[in-house]
Amino acid sequence: MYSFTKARKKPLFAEDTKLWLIFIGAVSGLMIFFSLFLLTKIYFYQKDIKNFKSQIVQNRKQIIDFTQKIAFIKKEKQLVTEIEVNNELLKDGVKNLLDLIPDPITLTNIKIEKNYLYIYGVTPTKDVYNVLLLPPLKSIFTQTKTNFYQMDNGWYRFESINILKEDK
Amino acid sequence: MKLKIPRIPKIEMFGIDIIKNMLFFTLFVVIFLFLLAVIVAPSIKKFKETKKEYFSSKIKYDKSETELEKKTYEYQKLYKENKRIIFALKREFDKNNFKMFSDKYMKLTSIKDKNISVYNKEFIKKTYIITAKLNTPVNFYKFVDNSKNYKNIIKIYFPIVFKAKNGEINLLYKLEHFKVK
Amino acid sequence: MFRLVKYFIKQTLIAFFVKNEKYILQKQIVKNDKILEKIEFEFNEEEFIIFLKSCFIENTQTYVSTIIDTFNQGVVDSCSHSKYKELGINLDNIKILCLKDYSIFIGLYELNTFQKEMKKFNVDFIFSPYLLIDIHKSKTKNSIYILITDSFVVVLIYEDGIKPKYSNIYQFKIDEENTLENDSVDDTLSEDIENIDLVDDIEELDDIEDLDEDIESSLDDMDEVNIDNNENIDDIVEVKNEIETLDFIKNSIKDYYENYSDNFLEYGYLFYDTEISNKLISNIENETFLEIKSEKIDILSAINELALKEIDV
Repeated sequence: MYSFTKARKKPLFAEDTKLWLIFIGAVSGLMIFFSLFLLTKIYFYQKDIKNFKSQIVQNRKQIIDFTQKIAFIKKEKQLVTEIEVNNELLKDGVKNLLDLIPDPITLTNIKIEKNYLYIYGVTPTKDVYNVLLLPPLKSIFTQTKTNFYQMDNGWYRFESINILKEDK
Repeated sequence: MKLKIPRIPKIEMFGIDIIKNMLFFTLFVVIFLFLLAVIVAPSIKKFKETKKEYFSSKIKYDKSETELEKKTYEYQKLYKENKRIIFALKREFDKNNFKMFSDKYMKLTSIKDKNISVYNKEFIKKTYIITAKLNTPVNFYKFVDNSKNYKNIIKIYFPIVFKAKNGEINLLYKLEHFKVK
Repeated sequence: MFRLVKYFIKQTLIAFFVKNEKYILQKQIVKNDKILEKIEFEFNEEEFIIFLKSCFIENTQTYVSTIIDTFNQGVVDSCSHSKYKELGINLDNIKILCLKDYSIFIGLYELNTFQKEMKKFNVDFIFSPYLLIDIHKSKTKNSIYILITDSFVVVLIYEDGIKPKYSNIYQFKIDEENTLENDSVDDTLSEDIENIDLVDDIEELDDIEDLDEDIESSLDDMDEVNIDNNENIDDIVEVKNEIETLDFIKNSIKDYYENYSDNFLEYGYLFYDTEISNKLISNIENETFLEIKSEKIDILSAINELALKEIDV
């Protein structure tokens, strides 16, 4: 170093140049910052959209599952209702049938099937049977056939075959 | 080969170097418009698009969620209402247990396995022939009435045979037990 | 990194000194150590300040340099503080500039005062006139270098071929009263100078001291007389300066032989930036018994050269 004094600081740019550069830099920075801000928002939106889409797919699967389960339960319910109705009807039918039998007549055997009915019993007189039991049987069933067998004590053993034909 | 840049005259007005400042101003405008067109405008466009997409997707999602909620509620309600039936349809048929149930109304004498088949694709139907002894058909009626309270789902069906013997009635009937597959 | 940047940047170097309240300056535009432009001006103080402002606006990398001609500066042939103590120089009042083999010192008071005065010019570098000689020197074994300007005379003596041994500065005093002169005075003086030409012996140089007294008394007598001829004034001042220069050189050499060295001087060099007469040169030769090689140097260029070196460091 040859000089007694050190040089003053020399700025690289003149003041107005610096001002312009700072100004341009600031505005550019703002614009870029704004764009970056928007880009991050876009990123998060897209992430959410992806989530929504996958969740919708999942939900759809679950909804289908539930729909199937609901249908099945309904089916089960229907079955059970059918069975209960059937049981009820069956009981009523049997009851009505047995109630048909008038007092004088005593049954020994009764076989109830879906479409036919066998009755084995004892009746004091044929008339009792023909008057009290036969007409209702005739009204219910399409075919009725009765066989009488005389017993030792004057009563008649009867065998009634009743068939119900369905019109299909 | 050095390029000779012609000396730009320095015009000073009001103490400001006009040329220099005009050049900087031009540079500023160019940079500003460039950034606007290349970076800012596309970002805004993309942002608007994505936002629209987001909200439409959100609406679909919300719809889907409410639908799911509805279905879930419907299912749960139905399940709760029919819990007894659902469990009953899962149970196997226990002969001893049935005997105990049946004994309340009649004396069970035999349970014969008749058949196993698939009913309505999703159910298994086991058919039994039951014989029992009772005193009056009324018990049979009671039995049938209370069959809906039994822990299995059972259907009573034809053939039904009542045979009088020694003061008792021998009963024969077909029992169908239903269960889910 | 800065070296790379400096390659592309233009630097403006302004060297100036003061002469009769006028500022003589040289502006150089330098790029990558090459001088692109060189131009000289002479301004008064206001003009100079305005000029400097415009230079700064034109180029922020503008460096302003000047020389300080206070007599309170000297050269010491070592950088160590012990040598200063040996020579009896008080370290508290001076600033020392170490230049590898030797050092230059300057009085702090004079430096600070000068700096304050120069503040309005935004001076970056202040150099010692000894450096002007240092730049232009050639032989350095038993050589005496003399630098003569309008304001001062500098003597620098090298002995061992590396570093200077002895330094001395003389500032010409500006006498206000001397502006009023007379024709007759001129005649008297030139007469006396002719007398000097005839002196061959060194011993007879003692007469110069007497001559000095004579001139002074003559000048005192001339108070009342007015002269319009400015050239005469300049001549008178010039002659006075020459006499003082000779005196100074003689005393410096005497001082050197008495206090600094036993070796005889072999070479003599004279640098000047102002007009000096051949008579002065031959007078000095006669005084010193040396052949004096004289060379006109451009002080302002030399200052800018020093400034350029400073920037590159």
